[in-house]
Amino acid sequence: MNATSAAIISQLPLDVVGGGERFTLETYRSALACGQTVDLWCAAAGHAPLERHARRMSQAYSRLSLDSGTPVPVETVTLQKLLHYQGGYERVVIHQHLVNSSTLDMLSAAPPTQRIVLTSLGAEPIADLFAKAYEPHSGVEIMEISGYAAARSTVRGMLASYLSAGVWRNELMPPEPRSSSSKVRAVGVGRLLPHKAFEIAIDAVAGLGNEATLAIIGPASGDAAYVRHLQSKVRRANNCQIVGYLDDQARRAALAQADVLLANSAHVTYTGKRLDQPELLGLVILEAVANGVLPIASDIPSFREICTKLGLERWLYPERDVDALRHLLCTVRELSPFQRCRIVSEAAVRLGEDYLWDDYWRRLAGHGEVGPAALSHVA
Amino acid sequence: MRILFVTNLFPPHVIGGYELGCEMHAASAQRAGHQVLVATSMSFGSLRKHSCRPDIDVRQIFEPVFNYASGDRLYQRPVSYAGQGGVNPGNCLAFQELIRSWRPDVIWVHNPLGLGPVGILETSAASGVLTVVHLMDELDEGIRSSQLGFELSGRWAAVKRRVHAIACSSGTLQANSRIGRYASATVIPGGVEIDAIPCRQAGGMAGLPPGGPVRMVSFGQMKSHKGVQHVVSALGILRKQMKLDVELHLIGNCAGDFDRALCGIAASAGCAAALHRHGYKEKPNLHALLATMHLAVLPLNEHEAFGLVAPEAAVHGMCVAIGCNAGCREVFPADYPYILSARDDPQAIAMTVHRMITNVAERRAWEASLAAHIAEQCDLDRVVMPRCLRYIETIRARTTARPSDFLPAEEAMERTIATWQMNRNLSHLLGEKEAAPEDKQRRLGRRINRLLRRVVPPAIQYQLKTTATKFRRRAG
Repeated sequence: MNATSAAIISQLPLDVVGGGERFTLETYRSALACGQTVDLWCAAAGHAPLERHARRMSQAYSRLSLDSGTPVPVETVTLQKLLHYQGGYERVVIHQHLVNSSTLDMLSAAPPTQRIVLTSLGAEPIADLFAKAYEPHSGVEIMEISGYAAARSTVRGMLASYLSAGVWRNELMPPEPRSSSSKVRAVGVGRLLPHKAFEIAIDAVAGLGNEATLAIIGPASGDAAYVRHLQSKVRRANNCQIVGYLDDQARRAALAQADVLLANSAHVTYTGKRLDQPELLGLVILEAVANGVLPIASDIPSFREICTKLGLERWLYPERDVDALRHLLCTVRELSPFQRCRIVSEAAVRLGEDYLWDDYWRRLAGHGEVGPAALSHVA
Repeated sequence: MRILFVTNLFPPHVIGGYELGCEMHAASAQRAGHQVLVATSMSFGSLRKHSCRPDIDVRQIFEPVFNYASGDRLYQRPVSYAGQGGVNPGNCLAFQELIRSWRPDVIWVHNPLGLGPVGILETSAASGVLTVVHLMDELDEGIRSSQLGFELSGRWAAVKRRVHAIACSSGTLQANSRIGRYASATVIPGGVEIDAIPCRQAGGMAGLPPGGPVRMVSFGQMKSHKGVQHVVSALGILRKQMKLDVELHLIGNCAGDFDRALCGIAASAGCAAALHRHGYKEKPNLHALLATMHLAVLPLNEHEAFGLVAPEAAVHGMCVAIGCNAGCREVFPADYPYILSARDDPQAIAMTVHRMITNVAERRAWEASLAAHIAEQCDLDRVVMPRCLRYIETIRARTTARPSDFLPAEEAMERTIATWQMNRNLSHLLGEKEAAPEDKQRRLGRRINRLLRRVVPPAIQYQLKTTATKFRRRAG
């Protein structure tokens, strides 16, 4: 029997460096920072989402330690065993709850006095089944990471709230005017996946010739065709490069040299495939502001939500519109370093009010805020 | 106090000691001046024609637990695994309504298996009324083995931390600590209604006529897991090998198949004429018959929680050979010599009985002291019930503040039912049939069993079954 009072369970493994996985790991760190005794669990491997009960009970889950900085499994048990442990926690937070039907096993195994928080983080293979099987009650809160994500839950008939975070207070660098340069130094950050639409940034920057540069920072994530597509564009453009993966320190150093960060996610990929939702939050925008970089973002719902809260609506462009992005880059080029610095400073103040990990867990445990957008969409 | 007893079965519907024990506790509490109400299930059909106590208020509010078939055949199947180890929302709602309307001071749960035990205990704990579980069987094992199509052992462990327990033996308490622990627990042995035995201390060898046969008795549940067949085999050894004039009297309801098997064993052992089967006897007749017996042999279940029949026999003034694993062993003196270390070995049983009969001085000493020793610990009205009530009063006195995670009963009920319903919804959406004991029987090859029963003699069937049970338990 465990003596800790809370657990965070991720229905996806945490050995992949993506936005969702980062959100889970930072939630855990936030809980520790707030003085909570908490266990971190994750699926030991990608499990089939709709297995029968007997097979689900044998799915493996690992308890992780972050003592070394990276997640290391310290205990691996079956779901059946984890459900038994679960009875001893006062509060359970389930991330990626729409990935596996075993979420419903966890909800069924919850004692009446246990509080459960569900957060989807983007992967939704069982969204329809979950909506049919879920029985709402006062012990469960669906707490999404943005008003946009909460509205999506509500459309499915499940009332949801939202609570966001993206940076630590000690990561908020006082913005400093960048050194003057004739070129606009742009960066793009994220895994090289089609919905990130890095090709839009490449096309926009390539059209500016010597007046701009672009560095794309992030790991390849298994879509070799997309990586080849980007590489062929980069080869034709003389002012773009794919840097690849950088660790946190190196990434922040690169951001410190940049003028703008380009966040280009779109509902339609380079092949014409349409996605239901490309992003639920947009951690890259928060990271950019924290590092004193002005973000220019595609006008998808989650990016608009963040930019509106940070006072950066002006720096949104219609998704996949290369000309509109290029126009904004030219506008940035016209601003002095001090002007850019002042825009980012004002955004950073707002970021510090609503998006800090330092008090995220305390806000979550205190039931957070209920977004008016989520409530207004209840059927 | 207003005491609400909760039990899956209650007389006249009886399988074994749990429901009879609940009846005795209820009657004793009532005699002690407390208001008593019993909530039980609407069992249909009946296998036992036990009498009822008309002065006890009984409300049949729960769904039927067992499906009895009429006739001779012992045919009992639990209605569902959900009832054995999960939640029955209808029972939770009915229970909550009864608590709300009757307002008990204490909820005294006996056997919740079959009622949806997780839901029953959660409903009881959420009511805010002090809840005590009386442990007379391995509830944790019953729940653990019934988690089919769901997994609620964590919830069972969580709700146990909110209720208290009285166990009939320390072994039973230990067995019931496998899935979490109770908020507090105590051991109070099973109670014997001493005053209801008009002819106590009338049995024993003192009544043996010179040259007359020794009347050996085994009574209670006449089932193979109680080891009755080994006593019958021991009868043959006592008569044929040890040349003792011994009769065996079996008192208790015996299903047709098992009855035929026992007769077959006796015939094989050449002692059919010395085997007397009396069938079921109501308590007064039972005690009148026990008063004519000279000694008792009760191997009992390999994991017998208590075995009230043994103290009952001792109160009659006779020596009792009891299985070493029986919970009632704890109320017998530490140096009591008639303990069956190998309860399933007819030779060992025969040697113990032989010692009882031939070592006259030792036996007389025990016949003189055993009844009083047992009565000091197991007198229901004078010892056991006062101890139970003192324990309950002690908990009531110290439990004043609400727990930090207190929930209103209605909100807790909503969560109990909604969480269970999600499991049912998922099973339905995935096209999974609810597992039922009937299906499990089919999976175990019921047709093969039926064929074997036609071909293999009954005596050998039960020996095979006993051996298989032993191997299964050793395996895990």
